Amino acid sequence: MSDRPDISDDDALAAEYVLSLLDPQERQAFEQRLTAEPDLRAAVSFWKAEFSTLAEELPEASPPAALRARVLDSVAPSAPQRRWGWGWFAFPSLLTAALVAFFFVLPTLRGPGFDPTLHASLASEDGTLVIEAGYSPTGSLFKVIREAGGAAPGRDLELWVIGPDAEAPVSLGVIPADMETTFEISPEIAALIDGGVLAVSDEPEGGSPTGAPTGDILATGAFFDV
Amino acid sequence: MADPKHIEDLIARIALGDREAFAMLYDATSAKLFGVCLRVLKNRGEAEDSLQDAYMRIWNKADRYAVTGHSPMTWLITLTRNIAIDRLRARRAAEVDLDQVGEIAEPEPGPEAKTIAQSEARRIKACLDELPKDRSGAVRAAYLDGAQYKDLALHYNVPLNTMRTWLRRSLIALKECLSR
Repeated sequence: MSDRPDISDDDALAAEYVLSLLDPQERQAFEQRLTAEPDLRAAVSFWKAEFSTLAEELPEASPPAALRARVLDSVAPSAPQRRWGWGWFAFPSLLTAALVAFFFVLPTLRGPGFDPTLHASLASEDGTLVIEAGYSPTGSLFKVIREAGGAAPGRDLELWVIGPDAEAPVSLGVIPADMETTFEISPEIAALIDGGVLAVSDEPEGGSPTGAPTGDILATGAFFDV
Repeated sequence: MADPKHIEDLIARIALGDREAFAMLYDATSAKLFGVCLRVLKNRGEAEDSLQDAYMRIWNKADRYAVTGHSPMTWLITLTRNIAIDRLRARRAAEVDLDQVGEIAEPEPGPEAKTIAQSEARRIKACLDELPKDRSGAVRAAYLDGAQYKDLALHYNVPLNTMRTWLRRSLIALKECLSR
């Protein structure tokens, strides 16, 4: 199509993709290629950046004040369950299901009522993912604080406890999008924590389909006394 | 428009669940993003719904922003435009009547033509200006109005395949100009 060999048809295809000009089949085929082809992803990024500058010159228009209230209210803490994404029951592992008693506890964090005796700090090698966790025997509460980073697009992060004598990691579930989260754990899981290790793995959306980590282990950290 | 670094900082705070930062981002960007929704949808009610959906997605996806490698406004505009386009396409018999849109106007640059983004905008404008007028109009209509090939073919009164060949050539020429 082009007599300029340095500019490929893929560039035009990537532009068509960003312009939303591909029909559904073409779009799907293109998105499949995207996952495997970094050059194509770079071409898409290029066009997104270029075309978005066209929109930057559009005239601004103030939305109605009521919309602001609606938008801000919809992320208000009065609706804590909206984003509750723990995938406990996504795991076929009977062991996990049997061990874990899960209760949604108030999302009040760093507040009174949480007095951890054991901590774990997880940081990925490149430092982009940082997770702090604590266990409080009072009420058997386990708290997870995602300090930095998150799952890759279309992926989830899953937490695992590996007991001192354990043969296999036990899932604590998928880390929700929330920054902090507190939940109750069963005595069986609590017993793994002292002397155990906390790990986080990269998993398909919804968590590991097998009940054991399937993706990369991104970070691990031993529990230590506070 | 606020400085990109400030917007980036707000997105980083939103990723940590900071509602105050979310309100600040809304105040700094909603007029721009509403402008995008209105341009695509040309319907106030639908534009409002899309804007709300866009901010929900921003709230939920802020932690993914960093891995995209985009400038903050590119990320916000792309995300908002995609939501508006999805809504546009979901309309029954979605067809963008470019004759009703009227002249595909060149907006006046704002007074704050100082940031890098602005100079990039001038670059793509300059490159679009190198194309024949109808070709650059087609590219703008696709991005800003969500026009599809069938809409463009109708508007320019050419067969669909011809329209596509045209536009692809224009995109390759555009890429060449932008890469100079």
